[in-house]
Amino acid sequence: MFFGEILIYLIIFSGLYFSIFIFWVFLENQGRIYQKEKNKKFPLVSLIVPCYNEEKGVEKTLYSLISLDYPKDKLEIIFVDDGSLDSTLQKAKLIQKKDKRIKVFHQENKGKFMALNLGLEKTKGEFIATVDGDSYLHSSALKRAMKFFENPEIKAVSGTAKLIKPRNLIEGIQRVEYLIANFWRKIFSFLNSLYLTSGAFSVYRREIFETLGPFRDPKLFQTEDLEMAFRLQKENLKIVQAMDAFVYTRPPFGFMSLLKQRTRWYAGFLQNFKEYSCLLSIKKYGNLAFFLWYIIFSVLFSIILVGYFIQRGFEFFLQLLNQFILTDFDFSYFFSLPKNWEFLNLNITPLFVLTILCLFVFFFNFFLSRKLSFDSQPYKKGIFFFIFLYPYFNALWWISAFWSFLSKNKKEFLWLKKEN
Amino acid sequence: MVEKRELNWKKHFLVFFITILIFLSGFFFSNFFLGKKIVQATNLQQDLILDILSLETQFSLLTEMPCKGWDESILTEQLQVIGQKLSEIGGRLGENNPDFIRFKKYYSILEIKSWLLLKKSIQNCKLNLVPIFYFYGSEKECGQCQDQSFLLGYFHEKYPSLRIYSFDYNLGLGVLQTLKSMYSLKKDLPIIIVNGKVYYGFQNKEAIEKILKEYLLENQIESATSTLFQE
Repeated sequence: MFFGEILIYLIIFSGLYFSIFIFWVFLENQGRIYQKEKNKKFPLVSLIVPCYNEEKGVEKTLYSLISLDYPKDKLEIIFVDDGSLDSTLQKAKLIQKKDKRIKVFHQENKGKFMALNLGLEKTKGEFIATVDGDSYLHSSALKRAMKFFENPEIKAVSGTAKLIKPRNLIEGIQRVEYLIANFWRKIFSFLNSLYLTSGAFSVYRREIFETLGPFRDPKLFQTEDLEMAFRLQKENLKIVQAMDAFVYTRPPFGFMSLLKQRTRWYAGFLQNFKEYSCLLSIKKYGNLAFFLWYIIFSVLFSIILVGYFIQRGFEFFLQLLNQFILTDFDFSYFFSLPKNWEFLNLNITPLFVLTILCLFVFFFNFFLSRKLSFDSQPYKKGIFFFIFLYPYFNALWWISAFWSFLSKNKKEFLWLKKEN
Repeated sequence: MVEKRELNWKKHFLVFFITILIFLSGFFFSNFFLGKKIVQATNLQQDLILDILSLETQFSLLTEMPCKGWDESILTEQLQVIGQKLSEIGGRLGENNPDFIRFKKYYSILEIKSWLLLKKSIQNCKLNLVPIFYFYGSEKECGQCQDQSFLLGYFHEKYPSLRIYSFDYNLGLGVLQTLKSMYSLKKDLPIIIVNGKVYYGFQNKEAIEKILKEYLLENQIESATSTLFQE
């Protein structure tokens, strides 16, 4: 058996294992996916909206907040402009005139986490919600998220991000990714292993900022949401995912913007991983540590696998080129229909059977995620290209993130080397 | 505060067990289909024996008009199908698997038998067919055998009157030894034998075309009705 084949078997095995585990936890908790009881209390919530150059989306964001189905006197909206170069601030001020609950602040460009912290200083609410400037909330999102806080143990609730109707193939692929990730996060939250509070929309108890401090983003990867979740997990504080607290967001347009965004996210993940490596202790953090280890290995394996596929593709290309040369570029041979259709009698190897099984498991995951997210939009192209292209995209994002992480931490690594 | 954070070993163990079961069932299904394929190949080989016997008998019966209703193409097609199945089985069982080697030996004998019949029909019925023997070896000992196999396939597609019989040089089979001594072959792979003439080493497109030119005139190459070739 070749190295590549062993690797594929390993990945299939771990993928199956993960999917069965997820499904098992889902079956155990399927009655608890949504909080069905009505809100008993409506405490004061401060919504912080940090914005940088969001003139296109800021109006929609703010209008979605002022139209939230939540008692008007129990809501304050803190808008923080992080030194935008466009008309974001002016637009926010215009909307402020229509609703006095909106308070607008401005700072020089210092990064999202600093904008959030400025907002934090201005808040009065018992609960603090953060909303991205390029996202808008479902009218019931806040109400649904707040239901979870009836349980005093829950310290943070993460919203469920959905992508607005995709404009191109890359967005279509991301939509599938978001959909499945939301379902998995819900499962992680059942196991007290949610390691992310959505940057697009999350709600926190005020007390956690008083005890743990404000938002942090040491290397400016703009992953303060991830850092906060890691910090909460480190302190054994509970985070849950509200499957029906929808926040709609538009992904970056075009391949390069997406690459930039993912590089930032994943490099931020690695950065926080470095800061909170203690979370990898299975003895101390149980399921969370298990999932983090799983992520590390699956990322490494998938990068190696994609490398292997590219190498095989290259070999195939060389072989084809060699055959073209051997036949003096007689293309008619390559395009002629085979006379013997026996080749259609598939060679059913274990790998073939297991790949079909994995596809089945994937579609099961997809349709279950879709049902639980009340999603009825068509996914025709997105799902097809997700299967074929996502592994390559994902590997590229991670490689780029590793590079970015290493270059930002170069000094520390060099210092370590000298010490040794 | 989160309750005591433990890894639920029992759940993980059960999930692991289920995954193993599903994983093994993939192998089970695949082996089930492989078994079916082996049976299919065996049946095809049996059919081929019957076809050879039938054609031989037909040949003997029709001494007056041996070529009337003669059709050897069924042999060629069947040989090709068996050959394809054999390479799949080889890919699954491994080139050194004893079952696969046994299949390969059987297949080689069938190839030689159908060649003998073909030779007879070419002589008596003046068929425009060119039999080619091709000896190959493992990738280690014959780096260019893969290219040679591809080129022969290409020529077979281009000139349907070619009949290519491929043999593993290292297959320990008496009848192959006889064939090797008939042509006094030395181990310089790949080897191509056309009309008794032995060509050692890789033959490129130009060289093969040159070899074939001796037996198939250009204007008759495309035509299946020509009767130029005679051994």
